[in-house]
Formats: sequence, C-alpha cells, structure tokens
Amino acid sequence: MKCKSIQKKLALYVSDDLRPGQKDRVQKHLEGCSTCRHELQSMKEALLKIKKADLAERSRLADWDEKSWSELLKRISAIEPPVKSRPARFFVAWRESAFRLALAAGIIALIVLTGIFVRQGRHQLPSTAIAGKEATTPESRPEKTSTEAEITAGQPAQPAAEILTEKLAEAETSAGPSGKKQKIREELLSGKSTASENATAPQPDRIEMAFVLPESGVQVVWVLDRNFKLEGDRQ
Amino acid sequence: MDEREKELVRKALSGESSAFEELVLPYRRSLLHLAYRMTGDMEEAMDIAQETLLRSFRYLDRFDQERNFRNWLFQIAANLAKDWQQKKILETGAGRISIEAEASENPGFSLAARDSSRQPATEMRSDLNLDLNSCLRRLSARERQVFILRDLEGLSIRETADLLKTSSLSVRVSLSSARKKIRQILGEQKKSDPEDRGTNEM
Repeated sequence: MKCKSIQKKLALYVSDDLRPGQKDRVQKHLEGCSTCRHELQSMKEALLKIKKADLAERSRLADWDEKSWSELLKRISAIEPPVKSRPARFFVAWRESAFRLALAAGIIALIVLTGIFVRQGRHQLPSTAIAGKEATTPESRPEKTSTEAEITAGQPAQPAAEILTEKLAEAETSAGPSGKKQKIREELLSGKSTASENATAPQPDRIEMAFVLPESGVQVVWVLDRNFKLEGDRQ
Repeated sequence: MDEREKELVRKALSGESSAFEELVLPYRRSLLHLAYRMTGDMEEAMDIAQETLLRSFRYLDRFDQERNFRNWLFQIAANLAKDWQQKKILETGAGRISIEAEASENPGFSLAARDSSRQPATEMRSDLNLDLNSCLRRLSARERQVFILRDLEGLSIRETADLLKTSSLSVRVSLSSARKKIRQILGEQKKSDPEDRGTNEM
C-alpha cells in the first residue's frame, strides 16, 4: 500500500478507530516506513496537545454558581411531573403491543367498511342514473319502444330466411332441375332482403312457410301465427 | 444505566425533584463544559445547560433506561447547541463564515472574547498557549460535534454515532477530517507563536 493511502488512515489509526482489516494493513506498512511513522507521531502529538489543553481549561472553567443552580431546581420543581402531564401518552402507549393490535384492527375494520360502502354506491349508481334519465326525458320512451320493436321484428325475419335455406338444401339433395334451384336461390336472396327490410318493419302477425315438392312441382304453403301455431295451409 | 440511577428516575417521575437533582448532579459540570465547547460562549453554554436539564426533566418519561443517562443529556445539549448555531447564522446572515474567517485570520480570536461579560480568551488559554475554541471554530459543525464527543468527552465511535443519530462510517469520516484540520491548525499556530512572543517581549 502506498504512503499516501496510509497517511489518510493515520488520523483514525492513532486512536484505534480503524476497522480490523485496515488496522492490520496500516500496522504492517508502518513497520517498514519511517515517513509514515513520523506522520503518525505528528498526529499523536497534535491530539495530545489538544487533550491537554482541554483538561487544563476544564479545571479552570467556571462551574455552576449555586444561585443559578438553585433557581434551576426551583423551575424544575414547578414543572408538573412528566407522567401526569404527558402529551406523548400516545407514543408511549404505541409501544404497548395491545394498543398497536387494537389500532391495527380498527384501521382494518375501517378499510373493510369503506370498501363495502364504495361497492354499494357503485351498484346503485347506474340504476339511479337510468331512472333519472327516464324521468327527465320522456321523449326517450317511444324511442326505446321502437328499438325494442326492431329487435322483436327481426326475430321472425330470421326463420323466413332459414326456411328458404332449407328449401334450397332440399332442392339440392333431391337433385331436381337446376332452374328450380336457381329460383329458390333468387327467392332466398329476395327473402333475405325482405327479411332485412322486415327488420325495420313492425312485428308480423302471420308467417308463411312454402315447400316445393320436386317430383310434382306442387307448392305447399303453411300459414303460422306469431306463436308458430299452424293456422292453415294451401297448395 | 445502573440500578441507583433507575431508582432515581422512578422517583423523579413520581414527582420527587430532589431525586432528579441527585440524578443530574454528577453530570452538571461536564454538561456545561460540553455546551461551552460546542458554542465557544460561556453565557450561551449556561443557557443551553439549563435548558437541557429542564427538557430532560420534562421528557424523562421518554428516556430509555437501557441507555446511558449522561449520553442522553449530551444528546439534548448537542441538539440545542446546533439549533443555537443555526439561529446565530440566520441572525447574522453569513455570520458563521465571517466568524470563521476572523478566527482563521486571528488564531487568538474566540466568541467568548467578544463579550465583556465573558472571560477573555487569554484567560481561557491553557499553559500550552493554545486557544482551543479558535481551533474548534475552524471545523465544520459536524466535525466539531464529532471531535468534541469522541476526543474531548471520550465517547466511542458507536456512542457518538448513536448520539448524533448517524452511522459509524459517517462519524469516522468526520473524525478523520477534524483531526487532520486540527493538526494543520496547530502547525500554523506553532509557526505564528514565536512571532507573537517576540512582539509581546518588545
């Protein structure tokens, strides 16, 4: 180790304030370095001089005069004993584990209750908002019913398309004339467009299902009511 | 803290001020000395020592009886001295800088010497012709605290760190720096003293 590095440590080595590992390294270096030994001696002398000066002054330094000491004691005796006038009772109590447990339980209970109230508040919020909207904007009512009508009107349109698809499948499986298939396809396409048109139309009261027999070419139509009950048929 | 001191603390807490007097009496002089070293001003030192004892009684119930009672008193005094110094700096603007500059220019300068009610610096000088306060004033606040507690009051590194609420490493760094500065200051004084003596003799 270099002298510069050692001399930085001498200020602590002189009073044995270095860590053990550092102390051993410095000690080893000092055994073979007269320059660093001289530095150490200089540091020792400086500290010794300061300590001697301090001790000499300490013996001459004025002590408390009895008047100021007795005045101080009077002031102290006028103070209420700390146990009774304890503003820090909370901090002292904090040290007690029972108090800490009680406080922790209280905080947890508060958090849980707050969570419950917040959740309840969230559940109530949408319903009240809708109720408020309905109450404040009566115009929204017919709009809402028309939307409902759209949805219900779309429902019977879907079976109509399915029937035509079934018809097309039947025609294909029966290997009938390709002209018929084409006709059904067109009907299917027009039916779909009808269905899409029906999507905006009011709900129909009757549904007709048509079947074409491939052998005879006879078309049978079933008439169903809105509950899919057979009202009648025709050829 | 020994059993006798614990007993005195218990009695003081129950309202016996005579027990408190018995408890602090062994430390009153070293407390005053510490305050004087930290402030360099005997009047301020007396105020700080008195305030330390008042506070120690007021907060005696917070004292951890596993600790050393003297070190607890020293801790209160060191904090009060630090507050006093900060207040002084605020009052005088760059006061500390100017005081330190004055001290460095004039090694015989000390705060105590500036007030006629206090003992002149020359009276406080030891036979070794060394103004200790002027040396201490040239250290930083933390270096001065560490040097006084470790080298003049004889606390260990660990005790000093606990008292100042810092790490042992920080104390070692400040102590090393303080000792190097002290050696340098003494070297400067050694060079200037023969000239002073020569002037006085003339």
